[in-house]
Amino acid sequence: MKYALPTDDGKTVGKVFGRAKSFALYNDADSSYVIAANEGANAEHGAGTGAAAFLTEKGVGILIAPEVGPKAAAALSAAGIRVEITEAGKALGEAMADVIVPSK
Amino acid sequence: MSKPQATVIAIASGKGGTGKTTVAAHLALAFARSRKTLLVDLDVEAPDVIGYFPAAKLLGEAEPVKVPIPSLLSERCTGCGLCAKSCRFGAIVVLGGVVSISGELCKGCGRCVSVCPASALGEIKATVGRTSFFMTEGLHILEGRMEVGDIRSTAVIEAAKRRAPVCDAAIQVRDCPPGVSCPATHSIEGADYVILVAEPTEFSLHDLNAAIRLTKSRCIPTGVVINKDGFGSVDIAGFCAEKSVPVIGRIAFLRSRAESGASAALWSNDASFMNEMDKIVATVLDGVSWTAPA
Amino acid sequence: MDGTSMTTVSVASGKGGAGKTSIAAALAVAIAAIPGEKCIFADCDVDAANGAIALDAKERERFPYFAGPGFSIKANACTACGRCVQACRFDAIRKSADRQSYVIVPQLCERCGACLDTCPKGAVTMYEKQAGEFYVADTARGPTLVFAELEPGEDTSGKLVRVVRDRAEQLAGEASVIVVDSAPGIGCPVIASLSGANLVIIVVEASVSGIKDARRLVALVHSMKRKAIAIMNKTGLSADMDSKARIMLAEAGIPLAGELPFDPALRAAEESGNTWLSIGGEAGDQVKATIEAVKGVVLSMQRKKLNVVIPKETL
Repeated sequence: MKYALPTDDGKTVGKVFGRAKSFALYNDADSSYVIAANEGANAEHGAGTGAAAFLTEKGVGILIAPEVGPKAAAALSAAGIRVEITEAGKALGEAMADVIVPSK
Repeated sequence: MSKPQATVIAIASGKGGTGKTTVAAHLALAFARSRKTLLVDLDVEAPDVIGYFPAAKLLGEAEPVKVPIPSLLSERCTGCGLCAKSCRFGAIVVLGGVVSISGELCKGCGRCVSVCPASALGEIKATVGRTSFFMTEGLHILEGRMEVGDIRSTAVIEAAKRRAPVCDAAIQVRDCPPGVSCPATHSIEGADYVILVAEPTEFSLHDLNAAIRLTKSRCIPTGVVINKDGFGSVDIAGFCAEKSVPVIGRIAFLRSRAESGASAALWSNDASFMNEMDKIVATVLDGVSWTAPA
Repeated sequence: MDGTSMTTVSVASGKGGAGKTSIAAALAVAIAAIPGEKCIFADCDVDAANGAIALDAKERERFPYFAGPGFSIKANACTACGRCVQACRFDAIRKSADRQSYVIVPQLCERCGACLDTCPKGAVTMYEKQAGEFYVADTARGPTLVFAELEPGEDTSGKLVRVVRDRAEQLAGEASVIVVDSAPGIGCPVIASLSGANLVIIVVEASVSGIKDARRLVALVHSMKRKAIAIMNKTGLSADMDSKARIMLAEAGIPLAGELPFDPALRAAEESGNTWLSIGGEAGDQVKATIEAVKGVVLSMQRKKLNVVIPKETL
């Protein structure tokens, strides 16, 4: 399962989703972890839907974020990405630990 | 594009809350005393005109305003993503090779439909609002109302503007949205005269400046009505003189007016107020004040 | 348990003219006046950027704001075939003054690019259109101010709000409070104004349209799961409206921090370049009490945040 978290500083959960500077992407199948820049952050319109498209491209199944705007929520739902709510400012590792079911 | 027959007066204001809708409603009543008048509510996100006329009767049925949005013919789609690249509004995205359309973000520009190399996008109509005709005490009203939560106000505004001539009125008074962004711009477009409603406060002065810039940029003759005169001491008239924009009306601030205004009461019995409206009517109709701001 | 030290308070109101900017300014000034506190005022009500007046803005740094590309027609390449006019769904293309070519009216153009696709002569070009400017200013009243002004016909967008807020966040640094004067209404710019806010203050004007518009804002605040409190403004004009506003808020479960009466003295304060905190009388008392109450909520939020030890990363 691939997880994504919005992050502006690369260490803690960011406050916004669609215009987050980057996304932390974690794959529990191989424990790989990258921070990917959110190219759509600067889009004039549709940053939320753009971010949903970005996550789909990366094969993300679960988004862990403090909130999503209504239009972004609709796009995520259409993409089949589940949203788990966390708190902004939490360390990325801790936010993930809250959600990830220990596997195997 | 033929010019509409009616003389179109747009009531606008840089700032919200200055009394634009109040002035529009009562000015329309004043015009209606001598001419067939249509009051058009173009503040489609929050149409408040009808609140002044609770006894108004709906004429016929509300007409839906529809905007074309793309619809996917999935068997033709190759997942090339050109549609998503062409969209400036983030309304069509490709999620894992599958096209996903966010109807609410779509402005109906049609670009994705025409760039699709596989002709996989057709168009269907999404309802973004409705226009309704009402009738009350010798005044016709046309209301544009956008669906709650939608943002495609331009489409509803343009639909109301297109429907207005059906009424065949001599005078069309448009209540415009506040501000100077897209919806306000479309609302004043095509008007013969714009009345900007200002109040004697610093905020209003600042926004009046922006509004005059807008009407000047569209070369539309403009006049200013100072509402709540006496409520503050900012010199709106002096500013208008600097900008060569005539002050065509002054409505005194009275506490009693503020009180009844809170419940959107109609002031047709407020003689001094309606007198001021009649003066504005006369000024607008005689054409003397019709100069575009310098 | 939000580990970030910044506290963001967004002041919103469905309706224009409800008193949102004045209230936001008073709150910002009250917070900036606390020794050791830093407050940034992010004016996201761009269509009516009155924060600069309310706070008596001084020095300015200005930056151009580019929303997205604009489109224009090169007159000498245009053969006036009219295909762009057919393609434009926003009626933004007109004949030029000399009738020899077409021109795009920037105030009506939605910047979709359909004209560019259809022009057989390649006469339509994209250009970097400056949509406005944003500014950073010190103010005589205390808070640092970030605000923007747009060209006529340009729209406030989620992007512009984000640009203003990003700049405010850069200036805020450690342990500051950001007061956001939200865009009005409930569209994308408002969503961007409320996004990530620790507290939303809903300003309800005690009138028919004020209550109606506040109701829609409440629904948005709930859907975005933001903590909210309310302030009623222009009370005392209609007992019926005052009561309806209170009922609406109670039904929505939004605590009421205070009720500000309609009073011309509030306007007089603004004219002399002062915030609502400076006036006397009953209205002045209500303003001070309400702002104290809100300030208390904001500071206790801030204190809770600063006491949290940020856990070590586990990766």
